[in-house]
Amino acid sequence: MPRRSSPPLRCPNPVRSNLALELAWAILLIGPGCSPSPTPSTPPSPVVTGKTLVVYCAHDALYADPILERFTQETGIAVQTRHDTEATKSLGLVNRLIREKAARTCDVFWNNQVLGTTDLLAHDLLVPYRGSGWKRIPDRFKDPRGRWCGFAARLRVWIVNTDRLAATATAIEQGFAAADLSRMAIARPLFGTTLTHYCLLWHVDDGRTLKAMHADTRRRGLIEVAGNATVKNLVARGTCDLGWTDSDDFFVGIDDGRPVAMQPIRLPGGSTICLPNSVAIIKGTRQMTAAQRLVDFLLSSEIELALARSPSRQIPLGPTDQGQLPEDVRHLVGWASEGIELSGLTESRAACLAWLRAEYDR
Amino acid sequence: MSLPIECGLTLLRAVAVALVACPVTALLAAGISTASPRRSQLATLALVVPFLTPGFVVGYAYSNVTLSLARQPVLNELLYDLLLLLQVVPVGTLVLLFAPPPPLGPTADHCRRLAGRQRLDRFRTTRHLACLRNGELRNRLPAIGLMALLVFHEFEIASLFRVIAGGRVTPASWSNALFEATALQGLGERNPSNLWERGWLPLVCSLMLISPLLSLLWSARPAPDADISRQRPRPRRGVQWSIRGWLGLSLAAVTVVPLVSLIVDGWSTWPSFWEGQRSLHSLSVQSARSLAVAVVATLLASLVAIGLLQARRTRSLIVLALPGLLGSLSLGLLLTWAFLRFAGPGLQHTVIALCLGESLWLLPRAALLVGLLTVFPPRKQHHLSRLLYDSPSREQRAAGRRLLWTLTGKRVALLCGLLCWWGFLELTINELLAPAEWLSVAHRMYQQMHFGRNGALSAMTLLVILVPLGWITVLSVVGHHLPSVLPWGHSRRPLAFSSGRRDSGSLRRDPVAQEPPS
Amino acid sequence: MTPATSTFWELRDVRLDGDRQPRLWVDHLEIGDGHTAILGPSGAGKTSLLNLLVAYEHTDLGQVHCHIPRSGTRLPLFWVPSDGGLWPQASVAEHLRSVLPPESSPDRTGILLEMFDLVERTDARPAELSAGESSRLSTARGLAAGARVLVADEPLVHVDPARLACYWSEMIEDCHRENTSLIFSTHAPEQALRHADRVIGLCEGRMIADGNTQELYRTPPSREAAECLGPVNWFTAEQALAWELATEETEFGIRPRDLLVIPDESGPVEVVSSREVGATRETRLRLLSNQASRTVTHLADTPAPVEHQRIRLKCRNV
Repeated sequence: MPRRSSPPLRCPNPVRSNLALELAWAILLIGPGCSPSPTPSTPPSPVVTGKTLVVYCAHDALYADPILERFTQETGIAVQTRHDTEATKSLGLVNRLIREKAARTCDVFWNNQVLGTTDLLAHDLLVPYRGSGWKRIPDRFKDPRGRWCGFAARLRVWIVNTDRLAATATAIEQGFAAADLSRMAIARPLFGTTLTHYCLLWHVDDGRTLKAMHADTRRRGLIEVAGNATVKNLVARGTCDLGWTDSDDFFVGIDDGRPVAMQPIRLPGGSTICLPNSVAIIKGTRQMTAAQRLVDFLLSSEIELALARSPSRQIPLGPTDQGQLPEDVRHLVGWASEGIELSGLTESRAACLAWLRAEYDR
Repeated sequence: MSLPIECGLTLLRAVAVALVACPVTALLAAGISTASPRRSQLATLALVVPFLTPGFVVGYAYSNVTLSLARQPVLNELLYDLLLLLQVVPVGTLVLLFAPPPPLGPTADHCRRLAGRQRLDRFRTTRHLACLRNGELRNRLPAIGLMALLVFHEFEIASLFRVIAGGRVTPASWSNALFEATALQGLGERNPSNLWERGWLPLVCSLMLISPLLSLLWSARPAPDADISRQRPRPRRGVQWSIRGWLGLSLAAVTVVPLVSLIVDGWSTWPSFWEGQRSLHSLSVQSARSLAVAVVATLLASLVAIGLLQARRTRSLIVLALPGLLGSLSLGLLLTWAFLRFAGPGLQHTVIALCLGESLWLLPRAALLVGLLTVFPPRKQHHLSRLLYDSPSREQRAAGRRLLWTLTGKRVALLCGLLCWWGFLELTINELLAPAEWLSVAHRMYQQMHFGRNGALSAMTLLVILVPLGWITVLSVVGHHLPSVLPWGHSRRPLAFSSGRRDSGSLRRDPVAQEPPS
Repeated sequence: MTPATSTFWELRDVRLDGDRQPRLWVDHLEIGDGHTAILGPSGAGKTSLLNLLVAYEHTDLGQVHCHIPRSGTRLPLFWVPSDGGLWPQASVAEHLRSVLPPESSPDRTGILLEMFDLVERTDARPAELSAGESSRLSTARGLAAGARVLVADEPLVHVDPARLACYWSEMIEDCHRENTSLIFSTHAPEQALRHADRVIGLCEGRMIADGNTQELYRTPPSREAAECLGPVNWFTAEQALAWELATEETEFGIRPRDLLVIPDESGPVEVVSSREVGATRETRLRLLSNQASRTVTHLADTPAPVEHQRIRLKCRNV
């Protein structure tokens, strides 16, 4: 009796067949990643030709992203933002812009202060633009040629835990003079607004007092952390009694219901440290029109008002309807008007930074 | 603190943690290898999960604790070291479990103890040191080296814990210091040789730490056919309970506590989170892009690893994998330098550079996983499964499909899944090489973590972690059924029989066989 | 239990945990001088027990007391593990020389190498040896150590059957000469019958037999104990009556050499089939009263039973 033939069989190479398995999975994996479609209820896609405005932003993403999203909504211009770490923030972005000189990707630089942006002038990286926004900002907060412009400022402040220390100038002074300074915290002065703070102190007497203060505070156990937000957290939690931070970080602590209060930091001479954001168009941008629109948008009274009403409570520099300002911000306007002049600090900044690098590299 | 000092302190910590971890790994390996298969599987899972928990999630979860310890740098350092210990012990244990058994087995070692040193030390070959070199130490040194390397390269938790008190940095971390120097001075990108001036010391330290493992891999030979059983004594009851305790502690401290804290923190913000459709859309776009890059890197790394291992070119694989073994920061800076030096400025911030960087970073892990999982089973096993799968009986076909999945599909899925997981959560190469719009979503989360904990960030972090996990789950389900939909499922070509020679010939013969005369 | 002349080990309430049930559970056991065989099927706990004796493993409960006397430079205890336990970096000769007691004769190494046919492998390393050679080397090393007590876990297990008996004899003779007590485990009952004074039977971690080898062989206390020492025809109390092997209800086993298959037209049993297996014969029988059937093993020294033949079973000793 003839045997029934078994079904025909092939023996594929397991290596090839399993590579095919991997590739099949890859198609499944990559497919959805290539073109994510927006949900039906999201706003319509931007109308502009598919090109995106690239913004390097040193301002906290928490506050900056909603502003930029609003810009996209209103104008239809898509924005891609690059932030940097809390630790390195503006300095990291400034250095990045300098080293990308030969092959730029950034269109607009939104810095959270002025120093740093002014560094870019020396590298001829900024494009002059004197639009409607520039015109409404006071002269002391902008470049006369329009290469950069300040807006929405913050103050450098003492943050104090009111459960442990009174928020008075005397109490703060006594706290700062204590033999054990381990209950005071600042952000590392290599970066950000603390660097600007140090530069201003350096500018007073070419760094003599600053160097002495720096050595003395460290000897007494001063705590340094990654950023101003961490300083706020330390003081808010009661781990430290006082610290240096920015007013926007202080307000985050207030909103969290923490027992904190603030006093403006005053330089010798009595001036406060008022640090505006700054915005500039980067030379070589291929989207000049869109960049100019963003600059005007950021420098508009609406945005200054929005930033004032945001949790960061930033202080408008141009004319705004005072009645619409929150009470907190109105309180700060007076202090902001006592702010020290920020121009002419380039040399001091360079010297201070060089000293700090050597100091922290020991 | 200068970079060399931070490098030295990091190295000291790395060696200290690894040495403390060594006896723990030996106990865990002994317990897992002598347990029943089911318990061994559960124990291995409990062992591995803490290692897979992203460092930045762990650091974020304990950031409030570390804030409280800002004025107590010693405690801050101890907490950091403990978390590192819990995270690296699984790696050392896996090395001990999967490394080829040392020449001097446990029974030979016991015979040595019974004979006594007085007799054995008379001869060079049976002296104590010779026995140590051939015994457990042969595998423990590479395990120590690998654990130390991981501790040496850890930066995510260190970055979130970093405090300077009275001028002293805690925890010291060369990678954070180098990263800050890169940001501060544009290190290497104005003058590429600056990178080498700063980066040579961590590079040398990394090579030193990895050399025992490389030496083991370099000299490894295919195992002989004869299966020499290695009788290992089962640990005592008290030791077994200690093993369970350790596994429970590490799982709780490194995985459960962070996950629970993310859920609890973010609980109140979930409703408003889902209502913010724009941010949700933005998050999903970023996640999809991150996943795409991770997948490309996974494919490249695993194909290279599989190809070279199949061709038995282990040494070539070791050479290619070496840059990845040096850590993501060193690798990222090396690639930056290479692009600047050879390809001109601008190209280092492209998707191609990013994919290349991630692939190189994943390559050593891919090689290790392919070796551990033995991705492709021996041909005989595979062929038998295929025979079953080609059966006319539906039940046998289903059984064959299950076997194919178990033998091959599951392993490949595990390989791809793990590599995708790591690629998705990678931070440093993203920071150094990614163009602005391709920065990974994990990178964005990590940046925001430096501002401290908040509900919205916790909710977003949880979602970001769930993306690759969810995708891997989908793949596993799909992959389980994949053999039945792919073209080779039901081939119609006749079976090819050998002509009588041992090699697989391609001669065909009439499938209706001639019956031998009775 | 046979009392030991001098007790080397005493085990009390010893337990070794397993996955679902204990691997070893001994209430009380004493092991002393002489040659003791540990018998049992795979998974019975033989290796676990020997590992406890050499302190390679430790109990989860209970105690193991070791009382091996120490005299001079003589090792009290040495071990031949089941996987050989060879030292990878030492040659064959070095394995023996390194464990030799200081006072041993200079040609002791040569004698042992010759005894186990390892002379031509003197300089070889363990990786170059076959499984059988490794097994012989491990045993030779055990003897070379000259310990008072040698514990051997399935020694010479990979050796070819043609030479096995020879190596065993050499090993036992050497132990007698050197006054070495030997405790060994084995799957082969004939090794225990040939060389052991005492047998300890294990099954599923419990002791099922402990006593003089010959006595246990002749009168095993249970079926499992009987089967440890070789083939046995076991009859339950009911079967003993039904097959007319006994007049009262009593359970017992009959070794093949003691079972007689006697042709008898009035016998209660009918032959179904019969075949020779070496020196014995396996005969399939059917009990006519209830059609129950079983296979018995008996010597093949009588004419083979024929199919359908009526027979009667008888025990030689009765």
